[in-house]
Amino acid sequence: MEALKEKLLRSDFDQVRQHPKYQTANVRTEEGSIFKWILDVPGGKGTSWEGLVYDLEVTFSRRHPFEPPRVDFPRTHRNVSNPGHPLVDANGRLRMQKLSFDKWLPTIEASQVIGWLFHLFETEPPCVTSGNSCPFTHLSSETVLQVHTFLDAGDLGRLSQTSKHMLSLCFDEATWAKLYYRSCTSLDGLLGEKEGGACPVRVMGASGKWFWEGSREAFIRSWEMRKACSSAAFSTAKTQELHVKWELSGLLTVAAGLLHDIQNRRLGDVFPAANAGYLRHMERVLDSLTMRVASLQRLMAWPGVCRGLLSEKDEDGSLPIDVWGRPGQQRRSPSPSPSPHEKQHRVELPARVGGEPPQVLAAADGDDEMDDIGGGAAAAAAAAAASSGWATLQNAQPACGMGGLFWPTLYDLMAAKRRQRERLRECFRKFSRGQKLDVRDPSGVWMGAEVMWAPGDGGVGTLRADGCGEDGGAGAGAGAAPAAGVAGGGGIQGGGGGGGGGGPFAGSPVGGDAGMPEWRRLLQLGLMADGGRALPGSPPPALANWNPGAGATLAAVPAGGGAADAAALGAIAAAAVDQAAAPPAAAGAAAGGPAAGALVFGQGGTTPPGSNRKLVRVHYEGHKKKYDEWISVQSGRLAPFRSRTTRPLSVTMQFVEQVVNGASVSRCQRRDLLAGGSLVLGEIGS
Amino acid sequence: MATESGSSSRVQKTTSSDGAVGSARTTRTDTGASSSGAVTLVSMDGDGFVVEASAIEVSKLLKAMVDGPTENAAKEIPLTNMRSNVVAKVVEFCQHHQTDPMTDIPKPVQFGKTVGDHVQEWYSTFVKALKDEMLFEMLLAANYLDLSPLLELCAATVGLRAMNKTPEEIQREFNIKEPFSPEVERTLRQENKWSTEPPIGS
Repeated sequence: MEALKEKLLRSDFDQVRQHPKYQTANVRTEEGSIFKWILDVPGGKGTSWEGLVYDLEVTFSRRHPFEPPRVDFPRTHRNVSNPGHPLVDANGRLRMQKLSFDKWLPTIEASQVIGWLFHLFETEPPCVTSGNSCPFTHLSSETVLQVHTFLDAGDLGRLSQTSKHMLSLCFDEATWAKLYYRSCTSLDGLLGEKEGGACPVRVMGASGKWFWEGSREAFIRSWEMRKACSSAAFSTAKTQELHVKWELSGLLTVAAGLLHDIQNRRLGDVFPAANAGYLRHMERVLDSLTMRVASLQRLMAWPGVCRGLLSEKDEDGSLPIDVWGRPGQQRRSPSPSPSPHEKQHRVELPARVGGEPPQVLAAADGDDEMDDIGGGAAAAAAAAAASSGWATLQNAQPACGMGGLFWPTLYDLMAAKRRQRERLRECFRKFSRGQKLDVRDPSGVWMGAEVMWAPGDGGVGTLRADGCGEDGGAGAGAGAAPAAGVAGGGGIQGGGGGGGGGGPFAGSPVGGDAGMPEWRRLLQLGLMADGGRALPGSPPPALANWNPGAGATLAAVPAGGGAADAAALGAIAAAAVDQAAAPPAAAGAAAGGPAAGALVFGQGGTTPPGSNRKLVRVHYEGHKKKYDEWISVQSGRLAPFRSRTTRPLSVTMQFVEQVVNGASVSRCQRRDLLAGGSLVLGEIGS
Repeated sequence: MATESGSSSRVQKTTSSDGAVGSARTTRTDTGASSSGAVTLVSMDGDGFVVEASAIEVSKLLKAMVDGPTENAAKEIPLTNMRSNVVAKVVEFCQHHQTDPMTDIPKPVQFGKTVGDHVQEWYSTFVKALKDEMLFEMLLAANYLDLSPLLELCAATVGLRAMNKTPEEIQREFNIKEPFSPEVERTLRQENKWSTEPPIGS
């Protein structure tokens, strides 16, 4: 077979060599391979190419008579300095109808092709449209591609349906690739490519040139997927099933696809300026994939978190906020004897229907920023990340590095991941005055609410509980002990431990409004103080989500008002910390103990060192102002607006819960799920 | 259309035979190092348009011809594939572009905007004056001459006319009469279903 096509080409080659017309062309083969012909084509008389010579490369296919050859204008000195030909695109490729796959016939001989190439430079393409009833269809392909660059993707699709000419032009892969990446600015766009792992790839051809492959399919598919996902609103059983499957299988496929690209060096061995955007995009894809896979797997792995999964986006619209709060809070009971210095959160998971014993997840040993986002979920996340495509990509990394790619190193990727996590944390709880949100009131009912005051708002100064009050520090510190005792009696773990640190609030400047009542000013001051660093005491984790109850606050304020400002604060805080045990204890603290409560207050000891504890004042919609509450921004009682109140639990979540609880999943559904997210579901199913 | 483009070309046109210089010729001396003086662009109809060499440098093809190895012949450039009114318009564009370069048009153009929202007023009136056939000829000419500002201007104008329309409307707009066979059309509709639905987020 090999011999036959070579024989065929060889005879054509000899024919061309002997033809008088092509004597000037100096047709020759490259390095003895009969498949690549090199020739010099002179410009025709009377054209603007007259007197010029162009270098051409004709590469015949390995399936020669059945596939058209490719004609390139290599970037030689002559070709660059001479004026271009309208049929030659920017990549130096000749776009000739006769040489397209559709028009090619096995009967066409190589000598005929050479004839066409000569003919190209013998006459100039007309720039007149006269005589045509519809000039638009007679535009050259280059021109129409120019028009395309100004159009949206939908327009392009519609335009392709108008005429055959347009249809043929709509198969320009580079245009689609451009459109694809233009639509990939949002995360949704990035993930739209999931189905089937379609993603435009740049492929190096046999001639050493890059061209795009599969971009049109990828674009259309991503467009459809996005539409399906955005319009379905997860309202039916079908969509939920689809969604879970889609999320998992897609993510993993894309990860695998990327990995494949990397390993096969299809991304290019160097990334010049032109490819930098592509590279950045790939990085983003990787990063977001990692995030999504981790969060999904975490979700699947820990039923408690399921409740909190949302697909809200932050202000940039770039990151999903998957987990709100620390689910499973209600179920948690304070540990019988918590050590103040214990950093681990112990979380009891609800027993599964399958009869598994409750698991204990240990997490948050300080290095993981997920700590305050998902609590115990961090461990699950880490495990998930390890078992996901992320891990595969990580493992693949060194190999790529050695391949000489300018691909980010493992370290870079990890750093990017960390940055992203930090950003996630940052945008995790951003509140502003007037923002609507859902709040779970003390009785456990979710209600619509509005933010009255947020940490970023002015008007009140923030304080750091650094334990060195300016003038009244000593006094406050001295007064700390008795109150600490009271607080301890009230069931506040480790509250007294801060005594040595002195009264963080006493005597500190208050940047508040002068006209504000003293007690209120102090109250705010105390509430927003973001202490905790200097205080060794560490109460049980549950404390983080307890908030000063409105009733207790109001009760305490008058009691402590006046001289012993800090005492009032202490009382409020004490009351707030444990409402059940509070009334007597709080009253006692308010009456007698100066300053000590401030320790409890300022400490926020559950958050790891270095993080700030902030509070937000919420107003329940349709309720009196007196029910307004201060709630920690970290609290699980806050959720995005309408995520809990009118909108029911998302169907995805219901489904996940169903799956997790082993309830009523048909074999068919289960099979699909298993096919989709085998990794995760395998874990759960076992 | 005929009268308008005809009048503008009449103003600038000189006949190559008598060599008289029309209004297109500017008296400023050229400052370019490689090219100097005036160049005559000869259209398909044989009309010559005298233009300053520095003005046509915006076209990469013409610049290459002026600077190129065939410099002795470059004083008269044959544009045998363009009609006189097109060459006249191109010359007009080049001359204005020399004094007041066109601003960029964003890609893609936003729907509802006009070309006038992105470019100077002169350019928007310039392109508005081009009617159908002329516009497409200009597009082809700009592509041929590698005259990117003009190409962008015309392409954006054409693009805006095709934007947010159904295939039928586009066919009507551009007077395309090239029906597909029914089954081909059905396949096409099916395959391009994504494009006929409203865009995401709208």
